[in-house]
Amino acid sequence: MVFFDNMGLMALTPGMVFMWLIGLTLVYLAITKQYEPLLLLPIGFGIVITNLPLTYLMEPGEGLIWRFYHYGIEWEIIPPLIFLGLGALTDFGSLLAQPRLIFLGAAAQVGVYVTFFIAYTMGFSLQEAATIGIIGGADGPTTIFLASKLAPQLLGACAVAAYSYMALVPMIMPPIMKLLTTDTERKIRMKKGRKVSSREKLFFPLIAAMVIILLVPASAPLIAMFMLGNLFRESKVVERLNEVSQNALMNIVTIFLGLSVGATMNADVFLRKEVIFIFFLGLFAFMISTASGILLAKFMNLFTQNKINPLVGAAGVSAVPMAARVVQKVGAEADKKNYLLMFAMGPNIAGVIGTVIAAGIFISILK
Amino acid sequence: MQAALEVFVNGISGVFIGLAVLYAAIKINKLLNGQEVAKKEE
Repeated sequence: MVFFDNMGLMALTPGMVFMWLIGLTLVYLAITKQYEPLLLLPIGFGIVITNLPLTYLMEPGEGLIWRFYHYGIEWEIIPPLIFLGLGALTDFGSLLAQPRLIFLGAAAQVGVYVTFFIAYTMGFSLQEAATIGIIGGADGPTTIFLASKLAPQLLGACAVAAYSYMALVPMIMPPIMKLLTTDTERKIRMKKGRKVSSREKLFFPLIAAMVIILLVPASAPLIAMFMLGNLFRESKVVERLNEVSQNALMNIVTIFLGLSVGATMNADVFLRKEVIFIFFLGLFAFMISTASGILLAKFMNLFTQNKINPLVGAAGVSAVPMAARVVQKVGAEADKKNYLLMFAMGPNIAGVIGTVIAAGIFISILK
Repeated sequence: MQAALEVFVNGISGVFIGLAVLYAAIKINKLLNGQEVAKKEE
């Protein structure tokens, strides 16, 4: 009977069933553990439905989710729109008050490049190695942006690795932070930063956009939208645009982003040994990024009277604001009255900018 | 291997240079727009 021949059940493969388990695990983690639920829930669902046979949801030119993917991600629409929302949500005050902390955001990119190099020596192409390395920046939209340009075949695996490790920040970072710092260092209380004027905050997105794009033009799509969102926020004259950027628009594009990324992970593409390497290398990148931020903070302390609590360096990875919250938590374990959150937000935001610059450099050299 | 090394060196130095220039821009911004206004706002 034709009906039976066209049943999806007849085309089911063990690989598809395995992918359902992965997708359902992400859905489970999103719902019960609340690990990055805004992303992992649609990604997990996307994985499940794309691995239902004969749906053709990702069929080029035809499938519904392929259209989301093609016009949203391949056309570079969604990651910049996410950055617009992030810019509208970001208060640069902590960074402007203590600009020296910007270098901790740069140090955290060391993990990106070390992992890039290792991935290349393991046999990945330069473009693939760059896409794997950027996971260490712990920035989902940037990872997706870079993958779509350099190695679209790795997009799903790299995006899921990035978001998974971002969700696991409270578990991955504290052991590294404790290993690399002494109890005395964790108790360092930092001096409060100066007051930042509203005019300074208003000028910053304009200046930052021009400076960064002049240096790394390939970072323009993300940096321009990031700073535009922040200009909406700081100008205080377009409250409607500010509000819609950080809420409605960001929520809408998040749906399409999560679903599209999940749908790229069909069994044929995902169930390969390279994907296991990607997950290990991504974790390695993330750990090195955390460590390098801490180590630079310790190094800076050799030359300054106004000491930096080295824990703050760990926030250089750009998982905003989770990494900064973890710094606060680990710092409070050593000294309950030590409030590190506002200091950690500086390198945390610098980490976002640093990761975008790193991605821009990869694109300008490798594309 | 040489190409990878080139990307590695350019990448790390590029990120540090990029953020160092941004650091300088923040300092200039502070000089131009920061101190007086912050005092007034206080």
